[in-house]
Amino acid sequence: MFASNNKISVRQVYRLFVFDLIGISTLVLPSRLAYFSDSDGLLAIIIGGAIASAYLWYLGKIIAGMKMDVTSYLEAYLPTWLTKLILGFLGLHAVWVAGFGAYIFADVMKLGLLPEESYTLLLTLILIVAAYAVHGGIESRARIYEVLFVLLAVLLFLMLLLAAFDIQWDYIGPFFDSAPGNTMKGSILVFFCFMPLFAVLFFPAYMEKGREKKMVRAVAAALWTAVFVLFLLYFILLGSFGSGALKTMRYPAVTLMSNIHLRSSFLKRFDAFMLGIWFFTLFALINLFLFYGTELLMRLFVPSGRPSRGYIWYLLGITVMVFAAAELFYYRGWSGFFQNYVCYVGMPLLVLLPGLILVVGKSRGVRKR
Amino acid sequence: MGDAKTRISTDLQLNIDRYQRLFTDCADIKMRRMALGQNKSRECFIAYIEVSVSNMLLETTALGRALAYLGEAPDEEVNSVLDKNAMGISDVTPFLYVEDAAQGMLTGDAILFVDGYDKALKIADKGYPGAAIKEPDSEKSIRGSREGFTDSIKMNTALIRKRLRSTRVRVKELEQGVRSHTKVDMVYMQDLANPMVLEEIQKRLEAYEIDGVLDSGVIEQLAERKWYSPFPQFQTTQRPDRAALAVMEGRVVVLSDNSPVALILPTDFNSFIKTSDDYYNRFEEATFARILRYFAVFFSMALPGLYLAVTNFHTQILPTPLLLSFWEARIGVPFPAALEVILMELSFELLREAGVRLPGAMGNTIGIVGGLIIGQAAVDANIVSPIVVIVVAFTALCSFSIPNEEFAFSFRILKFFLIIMSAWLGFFGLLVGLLVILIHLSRLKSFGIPYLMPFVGADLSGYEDERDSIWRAPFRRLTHRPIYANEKERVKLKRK
Repeated sequence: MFASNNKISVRQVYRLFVFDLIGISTLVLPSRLAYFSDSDGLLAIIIGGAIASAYLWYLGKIIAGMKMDVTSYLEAYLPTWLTKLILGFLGLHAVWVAGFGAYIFADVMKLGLLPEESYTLLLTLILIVAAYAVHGGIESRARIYEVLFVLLAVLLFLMLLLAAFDIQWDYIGPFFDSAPGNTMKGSILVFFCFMPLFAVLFFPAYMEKGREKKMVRAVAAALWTAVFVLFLLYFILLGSFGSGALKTMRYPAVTLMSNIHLRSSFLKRFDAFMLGIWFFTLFALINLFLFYGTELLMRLFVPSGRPSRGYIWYLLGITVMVFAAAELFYYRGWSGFFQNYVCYVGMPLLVLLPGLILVVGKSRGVRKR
Repeated sequence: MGDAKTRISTDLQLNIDRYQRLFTDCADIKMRRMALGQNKSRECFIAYIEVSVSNMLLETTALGRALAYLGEAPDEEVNSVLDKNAMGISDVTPFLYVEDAAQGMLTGDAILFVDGYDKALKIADKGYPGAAIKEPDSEKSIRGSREGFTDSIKMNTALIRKRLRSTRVRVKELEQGVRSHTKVDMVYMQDLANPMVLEEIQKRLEAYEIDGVLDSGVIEQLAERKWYSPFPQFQTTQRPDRAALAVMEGRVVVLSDNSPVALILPTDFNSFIKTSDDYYNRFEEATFARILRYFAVFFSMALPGLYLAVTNFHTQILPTPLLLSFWEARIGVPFPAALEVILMELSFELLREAGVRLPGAMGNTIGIVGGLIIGQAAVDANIVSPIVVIVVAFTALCSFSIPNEEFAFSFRILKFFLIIMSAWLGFFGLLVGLLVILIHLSRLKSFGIPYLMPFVGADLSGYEDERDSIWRAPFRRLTHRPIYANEKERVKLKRK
């Protein structure tokens, strides 16, 4: 029946991407932006948003050129060995990013809610739930975030509004004070956090035919929603703590929440409730990459034309790999290594790869299966 | 099952012998020989279940009237009267086989065999005894109709027809149960019901061979895809107006004989929150009531867990005076907070169960005795803290505000899951629990319709369904039927 066509709506795409983009960016970016460019971090956010927007435009052109999703295109046009190589790389990248997301998730929850609890327990629990969500397929995933969207948007803007009352205007500025190079570094970081945009290349498979343009427009709207939220949050963080203090904080947004006071409320602090925002946004990111990791791993062994069985085993395999990555980030401090990987390998490849795939595909024509 | 049937003979004695063999040792079945025709030369045999047919065979009943007519007819014309059904009554069904005639009698009507006539006739009389129409206790309405479904399927279909006097209303009859031969009716509007949904419903209803169907609940459990889900995938109602509304929405109502509970399908989360009153009252009132019910749904499931998370793990969110008063209230209570909440919740469920099982007045007494006296005594004896009593009472109040009993039960069960998660991992555990429930709901469907409609996939109906969700738009804005209806027949209200 109509509800089981494995297709999602444009509104669902928008809401999914909003969650995917604001999770890590609002947690990790503020202190790094303050480190690089102080108040000019606001400018870096806009420039980063513009770069991400250009990247999305480029991905939109690639989708128009491919006329299908990237995995189907790879299988149809590229040689098998190259297809497998690219699928393998993308799969591993998905594992890395999901692992990083899971690490940030468990770390934030441990820090904000359960300082005495074991990191591994929190990680295990959330990965089990994420695997359960992924097992429901793209439709189930989209539905979860379609329902949560309004609730979390209200919570987020309530938090930002309450925090805005405590802004010290002296902390904001001076502007255009940082070196342009540092502002650009901040922008690149913003762009790095918006790299989940790459996932848009997989989406044509989950959309009704002929809705690709609308889909890209919805993702662009989601991107600018995320830029707006990030801008607002950074502005409030600057006003609340000043860039000097911001640099030293691990997760400034979490600290901000513990400082929010609602006049005439019977509750003293809201941090436990507000952490729900990051609970769901980070979960969305883990979910996204766990989902694509599993899909890519499966495509590596079972091309799309053949009937595939044992989805659960691929999912389990990827979940274990994500778990291992998140453990390495926490216990071995591999997050620095991950950042280097993203800067020097992941990001350049994700920028160049779509274009290369299209060029090679166009030059070769359809491959016989 | 599968036994060869016996053709009815023109020899009455042969038919009587066969018939009596079928009902050996059945004291409740009355069988009588009689004589028909002007000269009383045509012998006949009448069989019926004792209480379903008036022993007086009054002229006012179809059976009495038929026998009176046949008693006056010339002997040689009896066969032609029977063949042409010229007795002046409508509810007569002829049977060719003895076994079919027996089955016909078991529906509550009388069976007539006539010597020299090779058919048996089923003639209606008063039928099986059944409860009268009364207002359903579990679905009270302030403004709507006071009628409720009864045990008789015929009465129930008539109650729907009474509200929908349209030639497009269809009642498709199936038989379920190889021993109970229960009639199951699918009521729908021909042009509104989605044919795919209709086909799927019939397929599922016929998917099992079962001994007996004594209530619609049996059909419900057999036809549910995700049988392990705590959430009902069929909506139930005892109100004919609610069922009629569902038919007008393009849904299918399934009625089972001997059950006053109708099944409505497909269904979704939002449908369980709506009541008939929502459409009879103004939109502000309906919207306010729905918002309250949504809050009730959340708190009936999450409040005890939230209490545990805050008091056991995240005390920093509470202001010091409140925290101290919580702490003081717990002084002397020997149990950990989690155990205290679980014990109180279980006690409450026990009281509720006792209240339901006991007769009316005693049930109410149990509520008062349990809620007030035992609760107060438990607090005085330092077994539980007053705050836990408040939490449990408020949770129960929320649970009672959910309009559908089966749906409310899902949250009562899930409450314990969230209590355990919160007692283990505080607010994180509560969020994980809520997320698991949400994921489960997102995967749940009722006959292909996502359970979370219209909060998801609202674009499929052009966002029209959202006007009748948490917010109920003014009636003149409710111009379209929900997504269940046939796509070509979505408009239900337009200006002339």
